Amino acid sequence: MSGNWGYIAAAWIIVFGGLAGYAIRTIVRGRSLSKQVPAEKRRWS
Amino acid sequence: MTTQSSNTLAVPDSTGSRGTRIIGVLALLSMAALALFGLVLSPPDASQGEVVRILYVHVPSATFAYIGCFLTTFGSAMYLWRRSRWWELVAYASAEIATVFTAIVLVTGMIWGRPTWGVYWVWDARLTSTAMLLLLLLGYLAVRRLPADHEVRTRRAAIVGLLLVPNVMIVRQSVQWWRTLHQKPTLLANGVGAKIEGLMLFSLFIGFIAIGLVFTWLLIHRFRLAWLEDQVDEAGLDVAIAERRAEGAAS
Amino acid sequence: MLHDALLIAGKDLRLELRSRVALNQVLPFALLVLVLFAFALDPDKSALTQATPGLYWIAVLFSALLALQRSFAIEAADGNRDALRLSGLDPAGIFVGKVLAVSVQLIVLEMLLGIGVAVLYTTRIEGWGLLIVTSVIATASIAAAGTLFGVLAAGLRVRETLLPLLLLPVLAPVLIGSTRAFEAALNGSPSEGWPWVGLMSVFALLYIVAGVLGFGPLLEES
Repeated sequence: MSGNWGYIAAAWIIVFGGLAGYAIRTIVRGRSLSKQVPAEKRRWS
Repeated sequence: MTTQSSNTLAVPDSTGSRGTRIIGVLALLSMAALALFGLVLSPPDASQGEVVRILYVHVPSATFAYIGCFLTTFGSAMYLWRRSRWWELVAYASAEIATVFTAIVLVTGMIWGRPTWGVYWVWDARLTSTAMLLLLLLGYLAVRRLPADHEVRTRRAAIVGLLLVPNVMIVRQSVQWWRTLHQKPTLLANGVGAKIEGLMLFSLFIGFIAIGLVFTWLLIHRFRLAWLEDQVDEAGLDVAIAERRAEGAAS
Repeated sequence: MLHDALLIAGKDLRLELRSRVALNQVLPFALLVLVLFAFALDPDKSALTQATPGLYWIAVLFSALLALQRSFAIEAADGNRDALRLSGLDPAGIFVGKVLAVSVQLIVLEMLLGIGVAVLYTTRIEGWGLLIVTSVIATASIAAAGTLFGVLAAGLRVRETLLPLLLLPVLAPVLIGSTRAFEAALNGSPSEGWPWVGLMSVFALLYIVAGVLGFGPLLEES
């Protein structure tokens, strides 16, 4: 039974880590690109 | 300080906004709730034991991966039909997010399979068609990111995106026949479809909400990022043209 | 549309008759693949005979990739793409013509490859009806999807690597279907093969419709 917790931990770490990593990458790229685009073309902000 | 300058100061250099911050906080809270219910409060399954906890993140991820694919096909159709750039960006953003989700689904599915079936991979219909889906999505992204003209990229990618869902349906059908004609799919009999109730059902429900909020948050941010990429592309072209003109005038 | 299609198909096939690229290069490649499979799988054991239908269709798929590359390479030279666009031919007709030309080449290739399999792998060929219908439908599927994705990849620097990435996952149902149908025919139980023919027919129809509708926009740009 204890071995199965290893699989569960691995799966949850992959889900949380993968999503967090992708989200951070999106934000970082968004920040760097935002600086190159004038504010009036970023209508959401 | 005038209102105008305070406005410009208030504009953040990011893809975030009030709305996404609210969604982001809700997503974080619900992911914490999912971890609490999925890992601690919900009981182990009668037949699968503790491993069932993987499904609380696996099943919602799969659902939203499929939703992403449908958005890609629908967005591509709207782009081809109505020339809507907005929908083209939705198609691109959701294709990339669907790729991330599909990869997560595959990996967590394999991790679930190891203690349940004893092996990481079986040539099961669902597993195989998900792997094919990942390859089809990678094909779409490859076309969308071609080092070519913006119009060329978007239009060709839209054709690939339009065929995404029909392809997935035919692949699923063929893989299902392929497996079931040879062996009965006994492996998944005690899988997701089995009856679940009480706290387990509630955990799965929280999983859908949490993953759904994350999906929405990612989609909005990725959409804005794609829009920025387009702007930089166009601006880059304008800058290059202006430079050429300046060179021509100087000589 | 049909007239334009026959015109394009005739042009491509005439080009092939004169240059003989498919005959002199693609067909030897296909036979080479058959020989390589025999090297990889010991021919004295049963693995080769059991896998024959699958190996045959994989050889066809890889050769089809080469034939498709060739089919669009002849349009790439000397601004033929522009000439084709200016010709006033119906884009749907151009698509159907290209599919026809590729199909004819593939059918010839499949017949010769079939003889190669029968001789080299000593396969006893049974169930002719199912074999022929499967070949025709599978060929139409490969040619239709291949032509659509071929024009998607055409004119790009990365076309040689892009076409297999786009086409092979999409053709997975055709590979599964044609292999199962051939197995059914060779095992003497053709009734198991006909559902696959139906599935591949749906596939071929989908791609022919998509090509007829989508070829115009794809030719216009770039």
